This record gives sequence, C-alpha cells and structure tokens, in this order.
Amino acid sequence: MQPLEQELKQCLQEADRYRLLAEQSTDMISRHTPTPEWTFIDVNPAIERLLGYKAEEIIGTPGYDLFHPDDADNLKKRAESVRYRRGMYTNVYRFQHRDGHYIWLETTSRTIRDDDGTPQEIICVSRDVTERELAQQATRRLARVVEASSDLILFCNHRTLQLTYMNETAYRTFGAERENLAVFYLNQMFPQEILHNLVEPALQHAALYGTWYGSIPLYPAGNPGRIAEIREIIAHRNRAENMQVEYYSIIARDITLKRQAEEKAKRQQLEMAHMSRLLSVGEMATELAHEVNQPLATIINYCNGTFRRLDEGQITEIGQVTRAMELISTQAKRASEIIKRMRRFVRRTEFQRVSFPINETCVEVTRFLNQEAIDHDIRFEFELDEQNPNIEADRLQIEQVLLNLIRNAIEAYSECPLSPRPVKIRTRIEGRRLQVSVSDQGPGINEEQQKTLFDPFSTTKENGLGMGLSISHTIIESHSGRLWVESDGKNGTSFHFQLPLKGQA
Amino acid sequence: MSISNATVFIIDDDADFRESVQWLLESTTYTIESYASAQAFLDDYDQRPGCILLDVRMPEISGLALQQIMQERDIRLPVIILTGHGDVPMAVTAMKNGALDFLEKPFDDDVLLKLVDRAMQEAQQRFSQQNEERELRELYDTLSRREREVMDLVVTGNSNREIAETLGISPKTVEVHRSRVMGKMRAESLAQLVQMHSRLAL
Repeated sequence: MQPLEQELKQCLQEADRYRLLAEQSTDMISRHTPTPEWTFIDVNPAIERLLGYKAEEIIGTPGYDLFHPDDADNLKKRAESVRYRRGMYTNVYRFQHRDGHYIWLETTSRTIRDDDGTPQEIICVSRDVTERELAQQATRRLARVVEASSDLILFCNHRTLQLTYMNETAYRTFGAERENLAVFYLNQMFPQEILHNLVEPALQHAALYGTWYGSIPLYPAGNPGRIAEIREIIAHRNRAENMQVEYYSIIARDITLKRQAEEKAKRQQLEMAHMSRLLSVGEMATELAHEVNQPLATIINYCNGTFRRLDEGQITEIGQVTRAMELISTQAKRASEIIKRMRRFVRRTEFQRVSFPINETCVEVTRFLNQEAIDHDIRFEFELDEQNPNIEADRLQIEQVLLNLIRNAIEAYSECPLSPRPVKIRTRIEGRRLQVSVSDQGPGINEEQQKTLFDPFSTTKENGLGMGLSISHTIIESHSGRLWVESDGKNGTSFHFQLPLKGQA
Repeated sequence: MSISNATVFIIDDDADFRESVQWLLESTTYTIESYASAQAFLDDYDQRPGCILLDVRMPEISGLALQQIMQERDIRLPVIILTGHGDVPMAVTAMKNGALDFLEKPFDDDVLLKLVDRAMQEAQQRFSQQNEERELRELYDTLSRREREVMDLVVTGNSNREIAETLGISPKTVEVHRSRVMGKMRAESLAQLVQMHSRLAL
C-alpha cells in the first residue's frame, strides 16, 4: 500500500497544485455541459474580475444566455472569429458582464469525451480581449475608410518604391484589376522627367519633414484619358527602428471629370467669345460697310476719271495716269487691310496665351472703332504706361474685352449733349499686375444698374444683347484677373480690369 | 451767271475720296473746290454760285447739320448727298432738308456727272431767283413807312377811298403815295406789284 498511498498523496499534491494554478490564473477557466445551454459546471475565481459574477453565483446557470445575440451561434455557424486547431476551438465573442455591458472574450475550448466518444463536458479558457478587439475594430474601420475613399491612396515601400497597397479608387483610376495583380512600382508610373524633377524631390521632402503637399500630374498608362494628381505624400516612420522611414502613403485625386468640365467650360468660353465677336461685327456692319465702301468708291472715281480723260484725249502721255494708278493701288490695299482686320477679329481660334504689348493693342482696337467714333463725335485719349508693358494672355480675347468696353463708353454718350466726347484709355503697371481703364464722361451708371451690370442679358441699349460685359467678365476671370466698374451714377463711368503681367494658368 | 464757271464744292472728311472725286470732276469744265470739313467750307464760302457734294458722315458738323446751317444762313447751293450706305431714315432727313438727290458710294461717274449738271441748272435758277429777290428787297427798302402801308393795302384789293379811311388821310394823298410806290418798285401794273409783294414774302 505504501507506494499506492505515496502515489495518492502525490496525486493530491498535484491536484492541489493544479487547483492553486487554476485559482490563481487571471484567465477564466470554466467547465460546461455539452448541451446547448452550455451550463456552467465549475469556474475559477477569475470570473469575478472578468464578468463580475462570483463562481458560486454562476455555477449551474446556462452560459448560452450570456452570449451577445450576434455571437451566440459563432461555433455553430463556423463564424470567421472561430478558429479550429488540433481539437481545440478558439472563439472571439462578446459576453455579458454582470452589470449588463458586453466584454470581448477569446475562449479556447476542448470537448472532453468518454471512451465511446460521447461528449462529457467542455473545458474553456477565456481571456478579456476587449481592448485589443476595439483597437482592431478601429483599425478595420480606418482600413475601410481608406479603401472606400474617393481619393487614390497608395502605400509605397520606401526602398524599392513598390506599391504595397492600392485602394479601390486607385485600382479604378489605373484601370487595373485587383484579381489580376500586376506588381506596380512608383517609378514606373511617371515619365522619367517628372520622376526626377517632381516625384523624387517630393519623396525626399516627405522623408525629411514628414509630409509633402503639392501637385504632380499622373497619367495612368493602363487607362488612357484618365488624369490624376498627387497631392500629398506622408512618410511613416518606424518607432522601433530608429525612426527610419518605413513606407510612404501617397494620396492622389482623380481629376479626369474636373479636367473635362474645365475643358468644356473653356471651350464654351471660346465659343462665347467667338459669338460675341461675330455679334460685335454684326452690330458694326453698317460702319464696316461704310469703311470698305470708302476706298472702293475712291478707286472707281480714279478709274472713271482716267477713262474720261482717255476718251476725251486729255491724256497724251502715260505719266499723266501713273499717279491715278498709284492711288488706285493704295486704296485697294486700304480696303484689303480693313477686311483683313475684320477677318482676324472674327477668326475662330483656340485659346492661345501669348505675350503682347497692351498699349499697341489698345490703339489697334480704337482704330477698329474709327468709324463709330467719327459718327458719335468721340475723341480717344490715351494715357499709356511708358514702360510699354507686355502681358501674357489670349490676345483676341483681351481685344474683345477692350472692344466691348470702348463701345460701351461710346454708347454711354448717346443721350448726352456733350461735345467733343472723350473716351480715355489708360494702361498702368500696378505691382505685378497691369491695370487697363476705359473711362467716359457720359451720364454714369447708378448703383442699382451696377448690381446686374455683369449679368448675362442685362442691357440698357435698344439693340444690345446684354452679353458684352458678361462675356468680358468671364474672359478676364479666366485670365486670373478682375473686371469692375466705377461710377457715381452722374459723372461718367470707368471700367477697370487687372491682369497678371505674367500669365497664370 | 453761266453754268460752266460755277463751282462744285466737295465736302468729305476722307482725303483720298475727296481727291478722287476732284480727279473725276476735273475732266469737266467746272471749278472744283474741296473741303475736309463743313466748318472749313463755311469759313471759306463767299456766296459764289455752284453746288455741293456732301458726305453725311463727318466728325463735328455732319452733312445733315450743315444743311440746317445753310438754311439758317440762306445759302441756297443745291446739295447732292453722298453716303457710304443706304440709310433710309438719313436719306429721308437729307431730302426733307432740301437735298437735290442722294448718291450711294461707290457711284457711277455718269450718274454723278448728270446729277452735277442738274444741280448746276438748279443752282443757276436759284441764283437768279436769289438775285431778283435781292433786287426787289433793295427797291422795297427805298419805300417810306407810309408808302409801305399804302402798298400793303393796295395789294390786298382796297380802293383808294378805303385806304384813305383806314389811314385817316385824303384819297388824293393816297393817290400820290400809290404812284410813288409803283415808280420806286418799278411795277408796270397792279398785278406785277401783287406778285412782287408775295415774292418778298411780306
């Protein structure tokens, strides 16, 4: 019996040790019936810290009731949160605390069976993973935000420049399939020039200061027609490894639609400007006809006068007609100049930013309005900046604005007895901008009229369409400039516009 | 006056056009004078007979404005309006202002020359009419106040007695005044005196 007793004693000691171990364990160790109720058979004291119950309170009660309704059937449903390994299940689920709130538990369970394989009881070891779960949940939500963002978000290895992650929008913009994953490298996405001049400096800047903001154009090779723009690069550092840069987050935006809208707006604006020029020419048709008729009439007079002299034998030597011939060709040139000027004016062109002398343009536009000025007894006065500044803009469009403003100034005098009638055109450099002013001494524009002055179809003229100022406004704004009016409603009106001397797209 | 030495006044602000008309008209016997503005013409004009080729569109004083100034100053030169385009309201105004005709640039030389000839005939008529009126006015100016009163009453068909009663003088005195009026006005009959009276637009 001695060895048996010895063995029994050893066993008891060992049991005590295990009990001690179980009682001291911070993990909850519990035994349950292998029934759907999952009734507590036994539990260690750790339950009190985890679930607020004392062991004796809960033993004999069904554990199933304490599962969060969404998690209760995790095991049955083989939910994602359940893992199975060598006869042991690990389940992560919400379990109700005595106070009513739920905590996250991670439970490893094993079913104990008798020799026939009939389940006897289930032994579980559970641990509170609430904090970890919540953190993971936040991360998962964050990941979903990144994934669902309408911005392109890319993660990029800082050494190899391989893209380790791309969100849905990025895949869409690149025209790539997630299933058919090609390996992307950042440096394959840009032409050599942009890579060296823009991308690399941006990455260096981010590595140095944490973040880079700016704009780098991106034309996905696999998806022609798309345009994106990199706007932000964040360098992420590894706290563990000496704060070395670990990877970059690249945030970009697909601007295809915006760009298309801009192009459309620009096209429409060009159309408008063209229409406006045609309208102006239409309105000026009488003046232009008069202007062209003048040299034609002159030519005919010289011809007929010459014929007459020839008929009557007044001309005896060729020298007597040379002068008339010279004058005829001068007049023909004059007529063709007028037509050329008009054709150049109504020509349909693409938006063209060129550098041109504004003073010269002002004078040229008044020349175009010469006939109208004569008819209305207008005297043009110029006060042009002596530095003869060049501006960078679409010349035709700026001419159109000048034409609209000067014609308005001329028409401002229509109900006005003043004579002569000055229209003053002034150019002046103001810092890095150029200001052009067109002033008349007509009856002015009152405050009420000024409010709707730049609206389309707002007109006070009998034959006006009311598009001139509206179009001018659009043109100047598209040149990053400003057009405004100045009038006290009594003594004259000044229109001013400012443009950057150096063009800004 | 003879038509051939009358003057064609060209008023147009377009120097090239002006010279070309001059060149065309120099093939005729008319004297040609050209002016760059209505004002230059007004400053220079000294009652010479002739006609005007007038551009309507000119700075400062337009063609239409010049027509009005001519009416005010009793300058009766026939006017041919030249215009770059057929502007109906303007043509109407020009004709109302007494323009002889209206020519659209560019024009046919034959049409212009015929018009100028017509204008010159008109000018001659107007000129002699103006001269007669001037002479009549000069005669009328020699009448005394009483003689003018008598003349007014005579031409409206009053008898000597009626005139005597109206003016409170004797019929004999009326008779004396009446014969002086006839003499000073160089009227040969009462009918001629009545005609003169109406031409003087008294």
